[in-house]
Amino acid sequence: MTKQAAQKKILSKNPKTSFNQVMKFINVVLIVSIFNLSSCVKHKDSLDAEKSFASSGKIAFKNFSSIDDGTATIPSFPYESWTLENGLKVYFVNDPELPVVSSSIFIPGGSFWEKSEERGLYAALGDNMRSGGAGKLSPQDLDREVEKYAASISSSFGQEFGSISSSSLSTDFEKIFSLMCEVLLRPTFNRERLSLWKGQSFEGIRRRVDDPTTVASLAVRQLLVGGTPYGSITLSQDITSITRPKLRALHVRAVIPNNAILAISGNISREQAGIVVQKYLAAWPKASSSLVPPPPFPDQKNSGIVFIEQPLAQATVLIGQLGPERFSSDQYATEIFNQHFGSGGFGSVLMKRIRTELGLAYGVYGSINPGLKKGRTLLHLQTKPESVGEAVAESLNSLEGMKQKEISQSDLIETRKSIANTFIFNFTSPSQVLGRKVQSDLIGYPPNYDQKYLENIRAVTAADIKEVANKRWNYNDFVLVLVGPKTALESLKTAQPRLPSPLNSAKIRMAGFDEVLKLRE
Amino acid sequence: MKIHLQFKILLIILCTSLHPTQACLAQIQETVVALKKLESNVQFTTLSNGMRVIVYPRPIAPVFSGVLAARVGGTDEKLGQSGISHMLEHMAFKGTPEVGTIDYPKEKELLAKLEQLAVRAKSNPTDENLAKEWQLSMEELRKLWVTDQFTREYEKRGSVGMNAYTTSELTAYFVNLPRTVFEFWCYMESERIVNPVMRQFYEERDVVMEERRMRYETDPEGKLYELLLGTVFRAHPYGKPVIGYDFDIKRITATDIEEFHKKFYVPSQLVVSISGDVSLDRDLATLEKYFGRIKVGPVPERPHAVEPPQGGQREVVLNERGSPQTMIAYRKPVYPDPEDPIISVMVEILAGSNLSPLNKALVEQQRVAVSVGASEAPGNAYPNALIFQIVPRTPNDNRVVIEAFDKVIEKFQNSWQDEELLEFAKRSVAMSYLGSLKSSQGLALALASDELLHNNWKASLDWFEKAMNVTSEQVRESSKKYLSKQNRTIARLETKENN
Repeated sequence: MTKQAAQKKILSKNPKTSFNQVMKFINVVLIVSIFNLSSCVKHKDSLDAEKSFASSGKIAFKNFSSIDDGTATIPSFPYESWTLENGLKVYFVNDPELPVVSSSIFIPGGSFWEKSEERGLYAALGDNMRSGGAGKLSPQDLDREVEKYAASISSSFGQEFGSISSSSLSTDFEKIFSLMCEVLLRPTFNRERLSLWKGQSFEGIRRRVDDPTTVASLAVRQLLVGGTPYGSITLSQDITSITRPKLRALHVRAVIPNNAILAISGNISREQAGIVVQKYLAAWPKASSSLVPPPPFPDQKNSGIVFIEQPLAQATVLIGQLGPERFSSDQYATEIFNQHFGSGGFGSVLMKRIRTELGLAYGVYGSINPGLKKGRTLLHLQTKPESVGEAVAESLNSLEGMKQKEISQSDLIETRKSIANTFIFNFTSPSQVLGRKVQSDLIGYPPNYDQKYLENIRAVTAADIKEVANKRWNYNDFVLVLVGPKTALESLKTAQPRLPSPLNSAKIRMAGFDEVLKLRE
Repeated sequence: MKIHLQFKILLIILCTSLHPTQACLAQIQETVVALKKLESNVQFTTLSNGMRVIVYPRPIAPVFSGVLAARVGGTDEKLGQSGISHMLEHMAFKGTPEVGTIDYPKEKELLAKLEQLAVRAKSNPTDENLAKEWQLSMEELRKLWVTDQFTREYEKRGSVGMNAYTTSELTAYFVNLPRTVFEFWCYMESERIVNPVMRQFYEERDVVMEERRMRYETDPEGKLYELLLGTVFRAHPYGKPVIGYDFDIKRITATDIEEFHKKFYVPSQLVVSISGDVSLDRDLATLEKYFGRIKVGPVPERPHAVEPPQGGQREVVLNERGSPQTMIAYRKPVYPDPEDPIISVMVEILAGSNLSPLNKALVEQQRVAVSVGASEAPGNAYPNALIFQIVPRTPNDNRVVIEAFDKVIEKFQNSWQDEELLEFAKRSVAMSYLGSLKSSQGLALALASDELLHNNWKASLDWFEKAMNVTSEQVRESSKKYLSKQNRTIARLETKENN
């Protein structure tokens, strides 16, 4: 059955989820998906040059030797956009396949703008806008209304922006949209719900230590830029100091239509969307000033090796350093480097070597992840304690290979094609196309980014990739965090002489997780 | 059944709902219309060898989702071979005679020799000569292998989200691809069944051991779950972990995998399910050409074990690092038993939202728990379990949350009557069902698993129809019948202090 087919532990071949978790904590990934319910329909004549019946002749691999190079026709899903007088930009696309509508309002601003005394405040605002009731509705009434329509309304703030979203059947669009706008404009931050939220947050913080990947991720974040808005980790005392007046003040300051974006996708007409948006959001008052630029990025604070002891059957290694700003000149070479070296699938250099050939890990990933002002360059693996040294040495050896030698022409072409041929998957439904447009506005894609993308990918040379490897992976700046039992440390020590300088002679610092977090000032 | 679906549901909702709000009708009606549309778009056929094909045309973009699924999983494993179906899933990415090697005839010879050594090593694990011979063969083999070529060939052609999973009764391989390589997909997927090669098996076995360490041994929740299932199911294979026990995984050989593969990967146990820029008209010949060549074999025997009656409450404790949590499992029947949809609606009422009695009492009012969740697991082919997972909120311990939980359940059994909440729950079931069909891949997987488990790709639609008919009397009766202490197993994780 499909229903709540809650296969609690579905075993899958691809371990990517653990890396996604790393990315979540280090946070360099911006938008994963804009809408909860993405959908698509409409018949489109597929004109791809392809045979409509089976080719005859012997079945053989060589029949498939020619490989496309990003030639799939990108479908167009015409969307519309307009701007309200208060500055709110609206995007709309009709999507008739399912009888549902999804709406999201994106608001620039987030924890990167937090001062040290208001750590965690943006996240608290996001959580409590929805949970704390809105307008005349108590939290319980709001829950009941949403449940009555089998709809969903959610709100959250991350590092760079916040979003208030809803989805419902198209017949309930106006009702649910109006409730979403109450959450957006008139949250009441109910006292009881705030205290409930605090209790939940304390428990969440308390339980972080239970998961080694979370521990390693937070430790790396802390060691790189801890104590600054770009590396802030919320602690219990931050939660304690959050109050209703602070939430109200931040709501007034941050939730403004200047530069906000509303995206609507689903089975309703442009006219209906226009009327409803005007009715509920035209009166959202414009603020006198927009968000100030984010604070300057600090220098990296630490480097070296840190061991956090946990008596586990498997060790976790996370290596990190600061990375490039988004849309740097070498971003296309970076994409190919990532795909080839360690963010791609099973065919990546790291996977091939560490997983398939040596059987040392289920998951191993390495990539350069651009971010706002600066990104993070990361390598993550999990292996049995006694293999830690071998796995780290081999991974860095693979990296050294990328730094020393240009990749072969056939590898280059293969990787380029792989990126070009997956490009179509950014444009497979109306809501996806709309989501990409919103993302491009929010983080400021360069002009004609999509139109020039394939051309830019094809222009990357093997020399460019080698340059990226050398520029972005710098042993002097490495922070290596090892979480595991003492045997893992022994294994790392044994292999240490094989590591590149200065890691081969670095003193290994021992620290408890709490201790690492206290390093924040 | 097709025509009935829409009207039957509407009629019954009208009759049973005491407060049929406008919204309620709209929700169900819209969902039914959407499902009917979906149902009428599904194309189904059988290839010459008996393999079933499900096609869902969605030609909005020149891409498709391809699923190849087999009715085989953890419950089909012999004693001593736990984990073999999952291990086989991993091996299905290792390639074929044409993909993954530079010289297959030579490789074949060496692999055969390696297997002889593996068998001898089972009884002589410390024999140094054997180890030496092993090393030599491996060195020769490494020269012939083109590592991960099978997946790389997909990646070059634009594959997205390529993966596979194994459950207690199903194994599925799936990928999204540009339409232009549809025939290539047919070739590769049929090849992995017709001509699998067990190369790099022993390295892969180590990879699976790492997977086990990650999912179960270092994750307190995973460990607790393994213990819970082992306690609920003492006779039925649902009690053993799909990934296998470490002592079994270590002993599986490539020969074991080949035999297992031959037995279960036969056309009658396989389904191809595709969704996207595909249609039966256009693609049947290609599907027949590639998948039609899979050889017919006997229908494999399924486990005959029947879990004996529970006979009283069971309780286990795991002393482990990690914060406390509780899992409570109640045994229950599965679809097509008529109780199954009733229990699912009951779960949605009890723990599906902020309004649910369990969440309201434990999380919001008494604040003894951080969260209460529920799921039906571990599979859907045999009577399974309804599992509640409760995370206590410090300083409350597991005992406190279990007590609070019991009070809510008791009250529910005795006096629950809330027509409004029942309607909310049904609507929520309807909406999440609709949501689960949103992606081409989700849809293709759902249809394939219904077809394999129930020999009926419409099973979920039928289940949905029955769920929409559930009454509050049925919910209360089911809660009395199934949520009893005699019918349950409690597993608690109690924090072990570091020594």
